[in-house]
Amino acid sequence: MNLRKEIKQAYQQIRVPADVSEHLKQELYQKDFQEEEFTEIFQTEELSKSRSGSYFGFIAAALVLGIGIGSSVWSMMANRSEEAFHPSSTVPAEITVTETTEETTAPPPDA
Amino acid sequence: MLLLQETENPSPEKHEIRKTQIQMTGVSFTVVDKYQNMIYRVAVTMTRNHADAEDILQEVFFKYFRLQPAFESDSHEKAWFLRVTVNECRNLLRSFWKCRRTDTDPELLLQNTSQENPHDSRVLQAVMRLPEKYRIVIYLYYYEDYSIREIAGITLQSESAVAQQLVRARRKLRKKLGGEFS
Repeated sequence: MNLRKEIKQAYQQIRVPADVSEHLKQELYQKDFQEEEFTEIFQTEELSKSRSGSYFGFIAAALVLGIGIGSSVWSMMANRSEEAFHPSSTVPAEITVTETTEETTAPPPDA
Repeated sequence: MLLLQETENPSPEKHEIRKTQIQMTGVSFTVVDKYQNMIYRVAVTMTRNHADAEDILQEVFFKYFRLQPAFESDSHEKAWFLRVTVNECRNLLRSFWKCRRTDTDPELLLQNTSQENPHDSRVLQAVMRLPEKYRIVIYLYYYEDYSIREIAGITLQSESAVAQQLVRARRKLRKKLGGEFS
């Protein structure tokens, strides 16, 4: 059997009841869509306003974060010095080696 | 209630005003007659509940007349109705109230429909017992003759997801109906 044909036949059974259809038409007939349209425009504006507010919030947050990161990087760069990072550079090129006497203790005599 | 009483016996002046308003807003019942069964079928398929399907039917037409969208063609208009209906059904199914309600049994659901052929109702019951995402794909593919790409556009899913759902739905249907279909 063909599934497509069977499903088509089966779905034909589902129809809008006549009273529901009539009630729907009555509702549509009564409803003032122009009035609703104004409400919708108002709501859309409200929504877009709040959305734009969130955009500004996001931009401000990103700006603050950027300034913070920038200033910290800048301060790190400003305080950066060779000495700080390369302590070995403070050691003079000519190193005077002083002789140190190494105290050696004689090994204990064998018993 | 008051509004209904008013409609039953509208005064001639009020009737004329309303008629002009309808002409102004472009309310045409031709669209209602053309798409009401399709919307109702999609809504029943997705919600498995006649009362919810009636609410969705009303909501979709309210949206249509409120927005008055312009369409390039009849198929564009039909696709708009289908997409809005699917979205409305999904919103309803995800709502707090609906999440806590049990679904209607498919057998009870079909009691309201005209059962001319018991075999047809068996097929319909098998479809209604499938998970929601499979039911709508089956309806759009087999009843409305949409392609996988078009279904993906209507249900806002990827083509591969739709194809996979279709394969699984078909497999489940065959299992339920005893593999008697090709």
